[in-house]
Amino acid sequence: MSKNVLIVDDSLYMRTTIKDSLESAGFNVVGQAVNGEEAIDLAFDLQPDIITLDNILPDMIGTDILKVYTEEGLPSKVIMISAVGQESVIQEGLSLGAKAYLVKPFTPDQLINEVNKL
Amino acid sequence: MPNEKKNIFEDYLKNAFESGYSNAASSFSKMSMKKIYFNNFQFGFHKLDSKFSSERPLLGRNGENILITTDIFGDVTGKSYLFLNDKEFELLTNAIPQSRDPKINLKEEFAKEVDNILSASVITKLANELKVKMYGDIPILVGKVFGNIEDIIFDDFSDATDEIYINSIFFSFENQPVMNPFFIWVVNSNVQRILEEKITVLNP
Repeated sequence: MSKNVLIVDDSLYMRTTIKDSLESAGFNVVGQAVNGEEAIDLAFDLQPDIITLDNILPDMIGTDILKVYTEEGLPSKVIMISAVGQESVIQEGLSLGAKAYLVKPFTPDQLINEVNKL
Repeated sequence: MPNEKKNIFEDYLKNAFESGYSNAASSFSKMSMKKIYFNNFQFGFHKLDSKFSSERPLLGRNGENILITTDIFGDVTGKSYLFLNDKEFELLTNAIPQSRDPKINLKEEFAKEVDNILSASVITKLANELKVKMYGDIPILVGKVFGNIEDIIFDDFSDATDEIYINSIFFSFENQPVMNPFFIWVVNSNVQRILEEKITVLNP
């Protein structure tokens, strides 16, 4: 059975790219969030298997969203996808529970490879 | 700021930004699948006074450009500006299909994402080098702008009382001489405090 994915990214272009890549690889994109509030609401409503989480959103930082997911016991596996590639931010994301951190720009193959590892 | 200190700061930031721009050019290459370099690196601290616009040499090309900006926040604050003329915008986005939804302009969305990644690529290197936390906000497609770039900076940083740091580059695309997007960074004077603490020669 294909895994359900929630995409969190404020960029329409990135959401479209991620969605196309994942669906081509057989994943089922069940929702898209464009800000932190939606990212939290949709994550708990949809309980997806996987969440791709951007780090800079109009209203929240991705790592703060991760804290909410972790504190509230969300079972979804989170992969952070962000143009922010600072070592300290990557480590913070991973220590807060993200299973992987993918720095933009990336190829569809890199994305699928990381998601398949989850 | 005394000239000696200014030279040390400028030298330090030059190296940090060169590393950042190399990273940005590398990211840009990955996104466009073309070899991209940067050149014509200009930098320095400037006081934004009445002489700024009239006496500064032109930072880049003027005239009509599409402008995308990203506010920088965190320990060091500022703003990045990406200028593209119509031809550059067209060449950059010609592989991006038009959306079936007439309300969505995927080409503009792609251009904003390019700006986001370029800014973040610089931020990544700069933040690692300065050992600070820095982030880029959501990119804003300002649209078409006219006139002097200096005037735009002057308006955006009119509150600055101390010297701000400005640097700029042009990207160049292999085998595409007409592609020269102009990328400029303006950093608030709070970077001086960070550098004061970091550069040991200033703290014997």
